[in-house]
Amino acid sequence: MDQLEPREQERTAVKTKRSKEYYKSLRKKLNNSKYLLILFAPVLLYYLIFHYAPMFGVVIAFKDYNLFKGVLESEWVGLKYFQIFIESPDFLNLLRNTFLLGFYNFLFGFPVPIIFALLLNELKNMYFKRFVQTLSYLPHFISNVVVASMIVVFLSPSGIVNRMISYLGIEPMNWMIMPEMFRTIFVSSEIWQHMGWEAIIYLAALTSISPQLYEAADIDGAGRFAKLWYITLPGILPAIFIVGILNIGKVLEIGFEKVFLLYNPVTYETADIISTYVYRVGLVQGNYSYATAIGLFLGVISFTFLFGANYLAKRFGQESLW
Amino acid sequence: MRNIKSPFMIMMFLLAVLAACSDSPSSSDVETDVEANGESDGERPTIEFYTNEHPSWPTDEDWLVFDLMEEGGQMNIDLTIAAEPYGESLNLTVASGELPDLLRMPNYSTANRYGNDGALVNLLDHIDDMPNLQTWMEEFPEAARATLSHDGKMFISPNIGIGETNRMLYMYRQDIFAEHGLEIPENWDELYAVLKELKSIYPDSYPLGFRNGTDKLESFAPNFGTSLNYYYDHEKDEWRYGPIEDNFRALVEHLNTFFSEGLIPSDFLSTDTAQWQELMSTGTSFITQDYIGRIDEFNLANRETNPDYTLLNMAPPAGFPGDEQVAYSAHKNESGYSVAVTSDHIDTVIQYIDWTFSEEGRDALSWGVQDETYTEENGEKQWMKDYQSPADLRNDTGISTYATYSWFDYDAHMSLFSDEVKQAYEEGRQYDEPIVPVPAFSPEEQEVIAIQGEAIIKHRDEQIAKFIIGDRDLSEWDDYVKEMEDLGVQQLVDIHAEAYQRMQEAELN
Repeated sequence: MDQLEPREQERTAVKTKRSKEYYKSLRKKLNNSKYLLILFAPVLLYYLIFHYAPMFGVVIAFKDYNLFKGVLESEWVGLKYFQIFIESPDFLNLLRNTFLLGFYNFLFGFPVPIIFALLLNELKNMYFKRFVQTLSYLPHFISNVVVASMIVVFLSPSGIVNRMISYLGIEPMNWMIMPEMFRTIFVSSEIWQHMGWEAIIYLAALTSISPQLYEAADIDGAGRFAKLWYITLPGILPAIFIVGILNIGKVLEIGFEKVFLLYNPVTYETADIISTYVYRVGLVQGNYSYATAIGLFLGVISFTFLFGANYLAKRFGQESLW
Repeated sequence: MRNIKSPFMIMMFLLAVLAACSDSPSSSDVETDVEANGESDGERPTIEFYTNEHPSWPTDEDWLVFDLMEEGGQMNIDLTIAAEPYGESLNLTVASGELPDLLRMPNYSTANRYGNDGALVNLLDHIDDMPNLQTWMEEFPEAARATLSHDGKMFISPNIGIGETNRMLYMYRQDIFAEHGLEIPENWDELYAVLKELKSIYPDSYPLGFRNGTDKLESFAPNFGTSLNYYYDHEKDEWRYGPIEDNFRALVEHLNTFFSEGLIPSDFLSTDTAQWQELMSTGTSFITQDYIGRIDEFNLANRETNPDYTLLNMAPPAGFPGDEQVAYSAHKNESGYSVAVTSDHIDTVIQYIDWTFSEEGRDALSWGVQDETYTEENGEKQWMKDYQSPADLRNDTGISTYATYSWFDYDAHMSLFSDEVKQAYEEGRQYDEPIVPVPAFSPEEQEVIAIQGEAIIKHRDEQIAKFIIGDRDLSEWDDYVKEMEDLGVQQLVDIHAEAYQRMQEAELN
């Protein structure tokens, strides 16, 4: 005991010294950046309170949730609800619809704002450019309810679309009851709604390209297309990648509202997606645990998508999220 | 070190507070509440009353009906009008654990769910303090039994009377029929003939117009002696599932013909209320099936431009020639009062609810105050003010708005209708099918109904719609029936039969 004591003391002394040094430098660091930290604090709090704290609620996916008893006291049921979902006869269909709708939305919806921004960038008349830009992001602010009813009215048997195609000698069709048309209708209306809005980020990226590059290219005798290809496009490539990765993460997160407003029993086979299913089974019928389990399931897949996209972007040496 | 620790402490504290918010109330919370409220002697206790409102008659706190309720229950009302959708607001309130004393429950199954969760008072536990309800239950045992939960508890107060307002029936354009010498169809074959005739006179019309897509089959199916859902066959004393029956196929066949010949709107699947109103008002549709109140609504609005416009009720066409003419029974109401177990004023609320089942309570909550709002002569009550319609009455007094009644004297509305609607009420009743009972399910059964039942509903709606628009040939009907059976229809029928059995055996006292 006696022999050990000095050593122990030494060790603790070293320890305290080390930790003292550590805290000292940490304190210094904190002190140096205290204003930045203060600026950051509201954001941190926001995420902790509104995004991380509610995550605690996902435990009801593993519980037989009783509204009145609350989250903590409800009984555990393990993976029961996940199993029910995977075994349900609609599972594959729902997954396919959700994925395909999101995938087509990404495939066709992603390049459009880029092309649109590039085209806008080529416009020389400033007033016209502003006008077009403003006009293009207006639909983004129209509520989905209004957009959906516009679509239904336009595509009804006596609607404007059928009148127009009847001039071309095509038979009027009842678009809303054609399951094979649902994805086309949905995706094209999404593009129409959000094209202008999503172009904003590319337009912002465009302004950061140095005009000197264009001047130099002019001197080298580059044409319009060459400038677009060798300067403009590479200039906004980082933005394209970031937006692309984020969009891939959202492939499965298709807005519930619009699908719900546009679908009807005949189009279920292509239109019924996981979120509308969750609404019908989970919320209308009050099965919160089941709804949460499906939501969590969806979240995990979305996370995988996002992670995979980011990994690939990194792999190809491009911009990535982290 | 203290500098670093304190922010963490604050964070932990915040999280702890958040976690505490989502918890149910501990017993200590309830105790402190009692002290805080401290009923001062002699004064009426204040009851928190949680309800919602109909957009057509927005709540006015000064409405006569609240005075009547306060007087009848010897209480003060602290009113909360919840945001829509009501179901979700209610969920949030229940989950918060801080329940109001008196709640409007939108339907029996919601009440039973919360009741099973332990949030609501079983009224039968207090039945000794409710002499009026006891007497009432002896008079209307069916209405009382309908509210019971799967284990025989009453978490929601029963009601009777106001359901009449939901009556649905067939209506036709009398003026158009008279102009062309058409006769009211007595069965669906004749209906088809009349629709054809109308279509030939008005080629751009869709003579039979309705809203809500395939949901409307719920109203049509009883004509064929079947149902869009699980139903109880009173004659054979058994539960069945309508959409796989041959009679249902007959209905679908008719609708398929109607669709292919343009007798119903080609976009009937997405026809909403506004579009349907347009169909009815622009002379595009001449026959429809909807709420009885629409008679006055359409006639009043359309006579401004077309004085001849006359929409009248018609007898429901029978599915098959020579069969009995039976109409869908929508005249029921499933909402009622529930009492929170956490309430400090359970006795007061119980007393109030009991009062709504007394004759005095019924008269007050249906007619207001004698010689102030109504007069009585030879047993006939009359409103003193000149109300144009029940809507007028509601907006003025609040009488017959949500959760202001249990036992409603429907004559209070009847006296306000046009002769056309009065006549429709008189005539409509003779075709009533027996009301399909709504059995209460246990939580386990409820889960099967929600999850497995949803797959059945989806397949039914999808395939029925396809049969109607001709996307699937009716020769495949047997395959469809097989598909439905494979989804487990029988299991759900059994659940209904079992739950119904329980309901019949439940003791009321």
